[in-house]
Amino acid sequence: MIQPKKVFRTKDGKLGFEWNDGTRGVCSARELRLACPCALCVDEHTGEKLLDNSAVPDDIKLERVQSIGRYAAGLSFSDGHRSGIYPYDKLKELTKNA
Amino acid sequence: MQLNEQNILSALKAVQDPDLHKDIVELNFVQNLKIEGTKVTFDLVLTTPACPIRDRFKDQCISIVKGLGASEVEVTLTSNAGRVGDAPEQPQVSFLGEVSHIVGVASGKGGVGKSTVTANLAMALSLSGARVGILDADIYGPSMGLMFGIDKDPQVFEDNTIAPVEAKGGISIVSMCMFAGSEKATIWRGPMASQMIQHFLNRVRWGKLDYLLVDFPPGTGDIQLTLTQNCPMAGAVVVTTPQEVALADCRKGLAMFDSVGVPVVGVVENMSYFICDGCGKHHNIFRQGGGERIAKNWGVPLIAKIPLEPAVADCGDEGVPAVLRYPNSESAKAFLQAADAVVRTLSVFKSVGDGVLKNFNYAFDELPEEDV
Repeated sequence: MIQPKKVFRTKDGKLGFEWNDGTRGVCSARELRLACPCALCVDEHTGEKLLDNSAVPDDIKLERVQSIGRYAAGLSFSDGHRSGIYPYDKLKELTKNA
Repeated sequence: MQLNEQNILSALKAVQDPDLHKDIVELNFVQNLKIEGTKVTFDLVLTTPACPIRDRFKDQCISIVKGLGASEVEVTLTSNAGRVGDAPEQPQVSFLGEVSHIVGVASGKGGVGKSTVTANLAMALSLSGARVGILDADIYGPSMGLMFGIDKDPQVFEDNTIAPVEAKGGISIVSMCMFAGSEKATIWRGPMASQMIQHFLNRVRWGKLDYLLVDFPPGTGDIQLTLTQNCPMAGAVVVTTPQEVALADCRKGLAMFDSVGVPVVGVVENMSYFICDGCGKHHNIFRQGGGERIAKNWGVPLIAKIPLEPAVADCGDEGVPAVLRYPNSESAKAFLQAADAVVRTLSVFKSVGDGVLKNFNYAFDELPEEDV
């Protein structure tokens, strides 16, 4: 199971992880916000995205990063959104693309 | 009364720390006491900056010293971990931080003896010298009260935190049965139940514990998810019986822990065989080898096979765990063996998982700045 060994930020405000498989990756706050998997942003039954990308400010920032159990991180954003639970495997994917 | 150090200190002995059961003078919390005329200043050095009752301590101290005739009293709250502000708002603090290992005890289905296993594992760990607590999270069918013969209510403090009840073997227990009468049903919808569980997780003053066993409700549902999401479990024990139908559900339990990243310590097969109380012969009432099959197919160890023994089975109803009542029975030996496996496996997990972040809560701005 993929789990973080370290959480960091980059100079330009991206969130970075060092994973237990030795890899590292970063992702911007906006991309993370757009990928929020919570029920307010994604329809629980159809999987359809409910979040309007244009409603997310370009300069959105991360405020907190918190562990959820042993499998995920909860992210709080500067737009007040904090209901997203990002499983580590999803975060690993997201930080790979960045 | 004259204002001097001795008078003030002896008056302040009235302020008790509800956790440590000692007064603040004895605990050496009062420091830098200065008296200038009728003005008194001192520091209260708390054990943690997040002490939930720090404001109460402060108010009590001020009114006591004023009662001695001081015109002005200044109390500075500090802690060993540095100075703290007089923040009127308390952040949501959890007392789980003082628990070294949180272990879930779960089963895929009900009726396999999960609570019996939890009670006896706890007792076995406690007998080995560990500090042990049980959170009975089976809110719809709490049974820890019965298993330990508890008739006390836990103490609930003004700030809504709860002190667990100390049961046989020095085990700290909090159970839903302590809050709702045992005759009353807990009829709650999911959100309500989840909220109660969160309250239990964060607001119970466990104190320092080596092991906190969490007795899961049977199945894989709402509360189980809340539990696995809200507490950083060091590992889980899955209880089953030898029948195929129980084993199928046991796999679901294993899969649940797998999907939430909680490593499984092992499987306990309960009611493995029956020991006749007349002749002592072992009878395999159910199919044999179920636990072994699970272990083999899923790569988790079978850590104990608990027999059915009539005398031992009565222990649960009598409020004394079998490990304590019949320490030489085969059941007790199996439970001790399981406890031993839990202790050893958890320490292996700890060293293997070394370097992996388990429980964190960072402000983004405080994260270290690094390149990719």
